[in-house]
Amino acid sequence: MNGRTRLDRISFFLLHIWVLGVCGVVIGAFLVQLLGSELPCPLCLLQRMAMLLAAMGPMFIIRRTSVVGSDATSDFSTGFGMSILASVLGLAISGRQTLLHILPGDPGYGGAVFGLHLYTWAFVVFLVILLVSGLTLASGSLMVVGSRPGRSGAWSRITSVVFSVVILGNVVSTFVESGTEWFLPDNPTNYELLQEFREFLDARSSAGDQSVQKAN
Amino acid sequence: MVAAFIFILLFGTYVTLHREHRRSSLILFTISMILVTLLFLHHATDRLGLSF
Repeated sequence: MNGRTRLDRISFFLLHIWVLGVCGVVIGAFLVQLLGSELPCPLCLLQRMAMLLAAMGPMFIIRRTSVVGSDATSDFSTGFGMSILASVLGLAISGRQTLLHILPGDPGYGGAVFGLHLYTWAFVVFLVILLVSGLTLASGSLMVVGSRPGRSGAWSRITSVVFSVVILGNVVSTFVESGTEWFLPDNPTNYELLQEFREFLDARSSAGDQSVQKAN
Repeated sequence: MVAAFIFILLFGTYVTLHREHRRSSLILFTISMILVTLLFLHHATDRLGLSF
C-alpha cells in the first residue's frame, strides 16, 4: 500500500467518524430528553438541526466519492464548505443560548452533563467542527478522498443508516413535542401532541356522556 | 410544526445525496440553512416584540 492510498483510507475513515460522532452527540441529547424527561427548547432543536447540517458535509463527500464516483476534489471542498456554514450558524445559536444564561445565579436551561449544559457542549462541538474543517481544507490535497466508485462498504452503509435514523427520530420527536402549534414555546413543559390527543379523547367521552343523559 | 418540517427537509437533503447530480442536494441544503436561520431569528427576536 503506498502513502497516497493509506492517507486516502484514513481520510475516508475520519469522515465516517465525524458523521457518527455528530450522531452520537444528538443521540446523547435524545437520551437526556427521554431518560431525564427534559424537553428540548426551540434553540436546542435549532442546534440539533445545525449539527445534522454540519454532518451533511462529510456525508455528502462519502456518498459522492463512494457511490457516484465523481470528481473528488470539488466534492471535498463543497462538503467542508457545507460543514463550515452550518457550524457558523450553530455557533451563533449555541452562543446566543449560552449568553442568555451567563449571568451569575442563573441555573441555566436543563441539567448539566459533565459540568456543562447541553448548549455549552454544542458550542464546543461546533467550534471543533469549524477547526477540523479549516485544518483539513488548509492541508490542501493531502486529505482529499480519491474517487471510489462502487465501493460503498459496510461502514458507509452503517453510517448512512444511523444518520437517517437520527434525522427521522428528530422528525417524530419534534412533531410530538410541537403538536399542531406552528412554533414551540420558549420553555416547553409537555408533549403538545399527546396533550391534544388526551383533550380530544376527554371531549369525545364527555360528549358521549351528554348524549346518553339526553337520551335518558 | 415548522421545526418538524425543517427536519423533514433535512431528511430530503439526505435522500438527494444518493442522486447522481449534486445540484438538488445543494439546493435543499441551502433552503434548510435559510429556514434554520429564519427560525433562529424568529425565536431570538420573539421577546423583543419585533414579530419577525
